[in-house]
This record gives sequence, C-alpha cells and structure tokens, in this order.
Amino acid sequence: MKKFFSTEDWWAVWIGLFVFVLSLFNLAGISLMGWAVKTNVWMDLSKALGVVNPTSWAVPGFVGLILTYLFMLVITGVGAKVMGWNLQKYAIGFTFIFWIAYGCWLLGSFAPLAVNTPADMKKFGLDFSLRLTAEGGFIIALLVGLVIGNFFKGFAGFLKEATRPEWFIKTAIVILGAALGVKAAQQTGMATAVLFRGLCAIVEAYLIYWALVYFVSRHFFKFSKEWSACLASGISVCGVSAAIATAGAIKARAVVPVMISSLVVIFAVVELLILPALAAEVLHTQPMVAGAWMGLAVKTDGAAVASGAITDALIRGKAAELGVMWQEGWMLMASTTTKLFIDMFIGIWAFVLAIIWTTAIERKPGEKAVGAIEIWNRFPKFVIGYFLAFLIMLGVGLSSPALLKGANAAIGESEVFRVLFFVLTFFSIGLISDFRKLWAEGIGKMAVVYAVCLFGFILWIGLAISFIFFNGLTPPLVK
Amino acid sequence: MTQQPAASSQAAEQVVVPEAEPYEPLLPIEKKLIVTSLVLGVVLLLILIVVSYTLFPGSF
Repeated sequence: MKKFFSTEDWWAVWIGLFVFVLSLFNLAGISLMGWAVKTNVWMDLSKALGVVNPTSWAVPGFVGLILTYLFMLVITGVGAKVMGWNLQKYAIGFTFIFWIAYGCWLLGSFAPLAVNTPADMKKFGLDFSLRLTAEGGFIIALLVGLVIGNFFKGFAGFLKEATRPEWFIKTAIVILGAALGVKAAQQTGMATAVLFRGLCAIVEAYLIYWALVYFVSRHFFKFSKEWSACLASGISVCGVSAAIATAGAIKARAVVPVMISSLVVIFAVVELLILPALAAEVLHTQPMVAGAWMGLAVKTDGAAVASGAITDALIRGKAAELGVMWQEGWMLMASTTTKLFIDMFIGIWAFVLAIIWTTAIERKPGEKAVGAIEIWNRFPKFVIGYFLAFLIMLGVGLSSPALLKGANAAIGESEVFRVLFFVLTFFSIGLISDFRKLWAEGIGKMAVVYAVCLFGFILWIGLAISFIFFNGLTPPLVK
Repeated sequence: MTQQPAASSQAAEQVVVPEAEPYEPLLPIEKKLIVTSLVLGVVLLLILIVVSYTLFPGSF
C-alpha cells in the first residue's frame, strides 16, 4: 500500500485524478473549481485575468489567480509531505516557481506575441504579431528558468526542493486525458466522411512518420534512444504533448521533452507562416486536401487550428473570385479532425512504447524476458491515470450528448491546472539545465534533425496522404 | 521498485547534452521496431484507402 504514496509517479496520478474528480461535479451543474484563473490574450493587462466560470464564481481574476496558487500549493504540498520532502522548503520554493512561471505565461498571452489569425489581428488592432500562440508562454518560462538556473545559481538552489519537472509533467498528462476524452466524444457529430478519412490519415503520423524520424535521428545523427524516441514523437505525432507523454513512457529525463517541445513551438510558427499561403497557392482546387494537410503537418494544437482557419479563409477567398462560394469552416474541420485524432492516440502510443521499451529496448543482452510484475514495476503509472480520465470522459460524452455541456465545463476547469503544470515544468527544466552546453552542443543539432525531417519528408508525405484521402472532396456550397 | 528516487533523477537532469552521450548503434530490436512500424503503416494505408473509397465514393 505504501508504494502507492511514495513516488512522484503515483502522486501524479492521485493529484491529476483529484483535479479531474472535482471537475466532474460540473456534470451535475456544480462548479467546484470555477474560481480557477483564466488567462486571456491581452493588450490591456487589466483584462488579462478572469475566472473559468464567472457565472458561478463572481470573483475578480486576480482573486482567482491567488486561489489557483493556494489550491496547487496545497494539493502538491500534501504529496510532498507524504513523500517525505521538506515541506517548508517545498512551499517556499513552489511559491516562487509558481509566480515567476505564471508571469511568463501571462507575458506569453500578450497579443503581439500570441495572436495568430487575421481575425484576431484585426480584433486587437495589430499590424504585426510573432504568432507564437499562447503556447509561446512555455518558451518564455523555459528561457527565464534558464537565465535563473545559469546566472543566479544561488537562487536556483534555494528553489531546489520544489523544482520537480517530472512530477509536474506527469500530473499534467493525467489531466490532459480528460480533455481529450471529451474531444473524442464530440467528434461523433462531425461529417462521417471527414471523420473516417481523418482517422485513416493518422495511421501515417504514428506508424510511418515516427519510424522514419526515429531512424534518421538514430542512424544519421547518432542521437541516443532517449532523445530519438522523444524527438520522433515531437516531430511526427503531435508536438508538446506527444514528446512529454513519450518521455514519461520510456522514462526519459524531463529535460528531453521540454527541449524538444521548445523546438516544436518554434517550428510550428514557421509552418504557420508558410504552409497556409502555400496551400492556398497550389491546393485551392483541393480545399479539403489543404485542410487535412494543415492538421497533419503543423504540430501544435494552436498553430494547427490557426493554420486551418487561415487556409479556410484564403482558399474560400480564391474560390469566391471564381464565383464559387464554399461554406465556411469545412477546411478548418478537416484540420481540426485530423489533429484531434492524432492527439487522441497519444496515450495509446505512449502505452505501446512503454511496453516495447520495458520488455525489449531496455532489456540487457542475455537478460531473461521481463516478467509481468517487473513490467508493472517499470510501467509509468501516470499513463493509467491518463487512460482512466480519457475513458471516463469518452464514456460520459458518448452515453449522453446532453452531458457534453457539463463535460466541457469540467475540462474548462481542469485544463487550467493542466496548462499551469506544463508551465511549471518548462520553468523548472530551465532552472536545472546547463544553458551553455545546451546551446553549444545540443539544441542546434536537434534543430537540424527537425528541419531535415520536417522539410525532407513529413510535409510531403503528409500532403500525399491528405491527397489520397481527401482528393475530390469539396465543402458544400453556400445556399 | 525500479523507479529512481526524485533526488537522483534530478541530478541526472544536469547531463542534458544529447551529443555528450556515447553513441550506441541501432539495436536489432530497434531495427525490428522501425521496419514493423513502416510495413504495418503501408499495409494499413492500402487497406484504409480501399475501405475509404468503398464506403465514401463521392464527395459531401
């Protein structure tokens, strides 16, 4: 019994599921965490903060932020205490980490950094944006963490007791399971043809892309198994979440997926700038191919959906010039469906990798086959939490469409904590990473692998697959 | 349990450079994983193409 409460792995499950269970009260119309802070994209800082459920919780955004901090301090503090850490040091360290990391996330939501669609550019009155999406806040958190970790080592040491990137990551992944379960349930209302073809298209992402990237990384660039597996998932599957889930599954160090995730976010911006324009130029007669291509090629959720929206607008504009008025949103739906299906299979992929790594890859020569108990001992437990949350929410959504509204409210609450655990992870990684070594020797070569794989074959295989499955499909005409 | 204590895993974070790690050639099991994944991907792709065009021959 003691082992269920003695490791970060199990405590990630308990905390993740605790947040998930509290959010489930929304199914009965009860909002227990509606006070959680919601960070809006902002130009005016006074409008940056809100709460998730202002109807049930009429509290100002900054109060929501303080409550969110206290809540996270308490739930992680309980875990820290039971695991035998120094609670006082943990609480002080966590406090600094939380507020600095949140400041980074808030900065990342500044409109000139985050906005990435023409509609939002217009809304905020902007002529220029870095188009990082709000996920740019992750990079800022990492950079600030790196600065503190490398130039203020005394302060970084002071925070050490609460610098727990692996724990934060795994907790976030458990919570993520709920959100993806709801998204999966919602897809049933989509057009069957798009749904089915989107499902077909992801076969390529998992089985073809992943194997190719892993091979290129291992064989040509001589990366280790740990880096290659996470890199393959980050580049080929679904960026940030996939790299992190894979790292957990193969027990990689937390720094590995975080560095890869940073590259993913940066490359997604490049893709967002180039691909929609390219699609509009060469695929304006194949609108659904263009939409699906965005979902397959652009790696972060935010950038993929934004690319789909831009592609939708650009191609409909071109078609309108020729007198064809296609309905809005169908290309975006192809992008979103493809991307969401990719997201949904992250857990299964992590599960498969965990089994392969445990039973085969990490098995020493001459070592006997790993027994069932050893597989269980080595198995990353947070994957169980992820699946539990995923399956419960999928079941809820499929059992009664009427419950989907409550389910969406539930994930609205739990996702606040998922994002914050991600931010804490990026910042914590910065604190414990050696900046000079990273930039001198590591991340540059990873960027080369990324560029070679992305522009060498991922984009073009993705285009070919999109063409095979969506060729000839066009959105309905405006009535 | 084979899980590392938090303190040791944290210390391991200090060594972050991918190239600083000794190169280990592709293991036979990795080659098998890569080949199996690719073959399965291509075979499934062909099956799904047939199914897709059988179930949904037209557009919307």
